[in-house]
Amino acid sequence: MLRKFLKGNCNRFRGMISPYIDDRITKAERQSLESHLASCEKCRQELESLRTTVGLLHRLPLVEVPRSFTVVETKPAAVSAVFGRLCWATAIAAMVLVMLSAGDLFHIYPEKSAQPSETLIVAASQTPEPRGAALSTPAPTSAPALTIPPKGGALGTPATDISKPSAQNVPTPVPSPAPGTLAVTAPSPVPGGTETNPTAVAEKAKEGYRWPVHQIELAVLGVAVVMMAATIIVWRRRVQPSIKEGGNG
Amino acid sequence: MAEDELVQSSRQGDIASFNQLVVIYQRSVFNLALRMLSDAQAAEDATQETFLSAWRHIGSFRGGSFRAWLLSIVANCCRDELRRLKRRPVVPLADIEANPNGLPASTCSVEDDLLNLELREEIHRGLLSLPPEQRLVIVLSDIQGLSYEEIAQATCCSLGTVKSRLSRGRAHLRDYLRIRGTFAGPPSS
Repeated sequence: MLRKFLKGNCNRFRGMISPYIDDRITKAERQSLESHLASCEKCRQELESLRTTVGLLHRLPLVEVPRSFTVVETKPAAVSAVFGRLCWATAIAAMVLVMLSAGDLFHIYPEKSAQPSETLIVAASQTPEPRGAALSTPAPTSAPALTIPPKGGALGTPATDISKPSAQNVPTPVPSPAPGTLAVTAPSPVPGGTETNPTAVAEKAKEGYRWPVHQIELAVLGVAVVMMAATIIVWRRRVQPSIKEGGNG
Repeated sequence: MAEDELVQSSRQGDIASFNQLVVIYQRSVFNLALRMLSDAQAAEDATQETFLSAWRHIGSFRGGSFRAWLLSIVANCCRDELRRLKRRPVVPLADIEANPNGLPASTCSVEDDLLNLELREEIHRGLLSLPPEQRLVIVLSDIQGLSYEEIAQATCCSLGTVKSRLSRGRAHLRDYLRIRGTFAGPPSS
């Protein structure tokens, strides 16, 4: 019982030995610990062994640094010129992208289905086929055959009869051509389709080239992303200082 | 120039003043990293990272001991590195053959060599056997000579925690050295 009491007492004082070595206990704690040490051999040994350990650690030398760790800043002037240009380029790319997207969103660009270019006016003299004959090749998915109205109807009026009506196939009314002309539908773009008439090609080119808006948008988006990445990289380099490699000291 | 003035100038963006602080404390920072990581190259990297981080965030230094602030940064770097090593332990074979305890042998001067090499290595191994938090407070207190308050600032914990970690760490190290016969006496019960 007494032994157990003494052991518990020692444990209480042993927690105070380390701060006692560093002189970090209160006056009251010091007095009680010192009176305990006077009567406890084990705690005295504990104190001595810890003092020796701390003494060994104090004598441990500090290692010299292998090199200098001083900080130097990267050249800001050269970087800032590039950074400024990149910022501008990124801003312009982003602006173009926004404008294109807005145009696309509000359907400013002509739609393919709304294009009247499917209908061409071809001179009758250049079409050797007999009246009423299909102008396109007999491919199953080709452009519809053209039927000439029996009589009375002006040629080129929207009296054409389309065999496979669909949104794409519905011919758009064209202004009435001069007498002796024939309104026909343009040849189908299906490979192996109708032979292209040189006049039709010229007319089609005259109608105007449709810009591939979506492809341009994608390209501009790509450019903007690359520019943005480059700007961020240059900005980070500009902000971060670098460490000078040096010798001792 | 006094340390406070150097810190103040550094906070205003004067890199020359900051570099004076680097020259003053680089040895302390490097030694803590070396004792914690036991690898010269890793300690060098941690020291470099510490000063870069200190320069970037010197605006957030709110007074107190600048050394303790620097040491808290390097302590965090070392904790991260130890955590990384725990996940993916890598020990280069060449390093083990050249330098078994990880300390650069050629960097200690003869004047500094107060303990014989064998004992020094034994103490170093004993330190490495301690849990990182106990090792940290022992290095800061008994090798670097920081006060309890500075250690509390560097380790971001209370004075009571510092005292208890120091007490347990010293006792563990003493037992380690005793078992290896570095000094006489039975291990404490």
